Amino acid sequence: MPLIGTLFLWIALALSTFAVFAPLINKEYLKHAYNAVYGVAALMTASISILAFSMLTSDFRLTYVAEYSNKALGWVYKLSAVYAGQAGSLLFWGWLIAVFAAIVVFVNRDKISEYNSYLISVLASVIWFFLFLITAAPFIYDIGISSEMRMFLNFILLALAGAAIVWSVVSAKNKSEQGESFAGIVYIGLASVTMILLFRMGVINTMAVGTNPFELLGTTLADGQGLNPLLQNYGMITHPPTLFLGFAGFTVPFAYAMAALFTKENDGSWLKQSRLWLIFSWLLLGIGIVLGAQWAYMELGWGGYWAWDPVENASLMPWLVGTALVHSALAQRRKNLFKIWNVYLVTFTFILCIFGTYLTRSGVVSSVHSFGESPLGNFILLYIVAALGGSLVLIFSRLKEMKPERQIENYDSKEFMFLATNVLLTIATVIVFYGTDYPLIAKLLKDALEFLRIPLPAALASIQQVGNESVQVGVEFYEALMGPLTLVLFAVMAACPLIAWKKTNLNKLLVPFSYMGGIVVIILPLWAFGVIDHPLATAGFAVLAMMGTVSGYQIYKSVWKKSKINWDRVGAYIIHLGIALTFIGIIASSVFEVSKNVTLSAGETFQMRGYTFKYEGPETDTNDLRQSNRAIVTLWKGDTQLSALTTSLDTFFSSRQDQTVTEPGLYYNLKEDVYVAVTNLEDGGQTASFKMFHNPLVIWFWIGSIIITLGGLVLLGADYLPRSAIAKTTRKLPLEANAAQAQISCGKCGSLYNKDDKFCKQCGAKAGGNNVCSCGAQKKKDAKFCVSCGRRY
Amino acid sequence: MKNKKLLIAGIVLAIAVTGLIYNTALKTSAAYLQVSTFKIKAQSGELRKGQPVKLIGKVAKGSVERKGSKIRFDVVEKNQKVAVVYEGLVPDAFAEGREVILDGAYSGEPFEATHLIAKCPSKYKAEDDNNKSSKP
Repeated sequence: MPLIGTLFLWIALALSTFAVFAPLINKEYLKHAYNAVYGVAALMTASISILAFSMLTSDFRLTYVAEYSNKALGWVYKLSAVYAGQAGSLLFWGWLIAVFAAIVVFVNRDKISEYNSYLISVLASVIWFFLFLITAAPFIYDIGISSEMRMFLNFILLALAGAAIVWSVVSAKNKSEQGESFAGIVYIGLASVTMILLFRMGVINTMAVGTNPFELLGTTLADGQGLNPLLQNYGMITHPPTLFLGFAGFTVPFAYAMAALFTKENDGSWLKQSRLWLIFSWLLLGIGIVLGAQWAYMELGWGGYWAWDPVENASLMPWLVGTALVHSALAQRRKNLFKIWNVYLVTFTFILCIFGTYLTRSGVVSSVHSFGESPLGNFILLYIVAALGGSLVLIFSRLKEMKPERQIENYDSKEFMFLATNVLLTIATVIVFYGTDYPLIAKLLKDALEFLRIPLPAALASIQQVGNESVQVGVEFYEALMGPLTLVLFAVMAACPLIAWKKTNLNKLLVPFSYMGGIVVIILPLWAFGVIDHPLATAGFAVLAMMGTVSGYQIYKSVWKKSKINWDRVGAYIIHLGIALTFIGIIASSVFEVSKNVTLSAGETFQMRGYTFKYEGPETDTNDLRQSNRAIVTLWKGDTQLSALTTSLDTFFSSRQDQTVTEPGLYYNLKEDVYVAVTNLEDGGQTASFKMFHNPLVIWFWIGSIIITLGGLVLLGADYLPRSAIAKTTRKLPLEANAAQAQISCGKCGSLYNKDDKFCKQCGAKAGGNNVCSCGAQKKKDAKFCVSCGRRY
Repeated sequence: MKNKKLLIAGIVLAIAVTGLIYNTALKTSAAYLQVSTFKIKAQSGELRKGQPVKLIGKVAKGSVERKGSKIRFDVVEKNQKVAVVYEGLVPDAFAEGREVILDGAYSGEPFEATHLIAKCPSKYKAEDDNNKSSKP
């Protein structure tokens, strides 16, 4: 069986090589390439099934199975052990891309064009890379890159980056859109920094770690080592697969974009074709991040739901860029804006997904997640450089063709708001990138400043190389920068729905502006006089309240007030509403959390923020897997007992090195979470030490996330949802007719605008004036009554 | 809209943001100190009281003592050791012989850690001593 698995993967490698090159050589071969992609997907499905089967049947002939599973493990965790390690997770990820590629092929099966040739070629090349890592890479580990070679490559990259910057400046001068060229410069700058960093730290020589999950152990063990008890959590079943779905999904829009660039298709059709893929990947990646946060929240010692750990950041970065992409893709579909920017964004989203895996697998940055250092990093590094370099060169060579037809004309327009969103999200990504890679950046800065003979700041001067980590930014770095940034972002999100495309009547902005101004006017003195401690958090709540209300109103308006329901709009605002709720939870729990360490004897009580904790006593439960030493704590408010919480220290038997897992006890309601974790049991449990947490509003983080997911589902299903169900009934209501007196619905998009306006504020179409009935139906010439609602004109 | 204006605004914004990120990172970052370096710096008086420190080392075998919610242990490196006290949640990955990162303000010995991160170079893999010794 294992040999078959390996064989399948090698055949898949050969087939994917064919699929990369065949369509480029001759368009006639495209059909064969399609079949090759099907073949690759089938073979990879078969091999991952074999791996899963080996896991389920505890086939300890396989090194990978022996390392991550054992007989006592439940079947669900046996299955999840498939992606628990380096080798299996690569196969899992590659397999998902292969399946997605097969779906893309199926959708395009009848189309034979140059565009599709490139599409398939790019997709196959990504799959090829993953298969290469799994199968061929272990054989050439020893080939590392010499330091001279690294210098040389570094030099070439610098030269390339320099040329690219000059190129975009020149093209900016040549009357193409300067703003977008500027975006290009920013991204190229980022890219060159990335590459330099990667090359400085890229090559790590460690012993080969197997990447082929079908590698044989040589002997058969009686039992495996088992899955780390920390991973035996429902989070292990949900978090990695969703994240991988997101990562893998972003490959498809990237491939479409590259195909469009290769063939100089300049009508933005790549965005239309990959719209669902984009939303799907964005949504899954987001859900994956939240599931990880949920897991970390319940797993102690991972620093709460978000700890700005490098690997958490690695999944956040593609999500941030992906979020920018989702928005500017909308702007391109609707208004033909941000053409160039979008290809940069899609490239960076894809590269950042791969970069995430580089961070986890190379040992470059230390993290609680890391798989351990491995030479795999070198290959991933080379791939990143090749893919990023290749994509950027391709983009530059097409800049002329992509000259935008439209420009942003006014600051008070939706277009500008989209630009602002893009800029803010890009800055957010840069912040996270800088913080995550600070150990590398700091060294680079130190060298650079020394070279330029500029006196070093104290923080840089004290850097000494300690393993791979020398210096790291604290959580305060992210808090100090991301706090204000998200506040501005939310202000944009709150104001944006009130701002029209092209140009807005400034009077309409009076409400949001005075609201925002009011926040500042009220909060600043309150803070100065010591009434509130956290002006930023308070301002955050105020802006989020506005943003949530505006989003909620937009949903209401789109569903109940329009003759046609624009589900794209509804979905988007459901997501915004969810974001508002999520961040209310995030701000509240991160700023107003209280925690205390206490030691209690059985029967003793402890009070915190109006709650009384009573330690009832110990309890022990033992089964095949572990011994659970429990502490029972009852939670009281006044004289009422709210709940009995069980928190335990579970010691797992079969595992490596007496691994203990702390299970917390949680009491929650819509207002707050009360969280108790036992940290030590003494005297047979008669004395127990606890850490108690009071975490306000944290549940809204999860509720908001669920709402975001719902919004995402609405976006995905927008084309299948009924367009006019609710409007039919409301149209006849007299109230609605009255409301329509002052407002007319646009003949094009169905949204309401003021009678005096010349343009529809939603779609920018010229006002229908007398040609459109107040119900939104087009007037028949010379008719006296509306054909749709029967109203007299 | 004048693109020049947008370009200038962009450049100004980029410079401002770069400066802000650069400075914040300098302010909030802390260099890691190995146990031996920590010793040298403590003896030479280079470490001021209250200065934020990230101490990195291995938990000495047999040194872990728990009392209530407090934990005491030694971190070792190159035959040097520093005593550490910490109160609160000990991460599940913490164990004797594992590498830990300790955050805290310097106040002599024992080092009072406010944050304890347990690191395992191959955390989700089997502990394998060959793995470490074969590293160059």
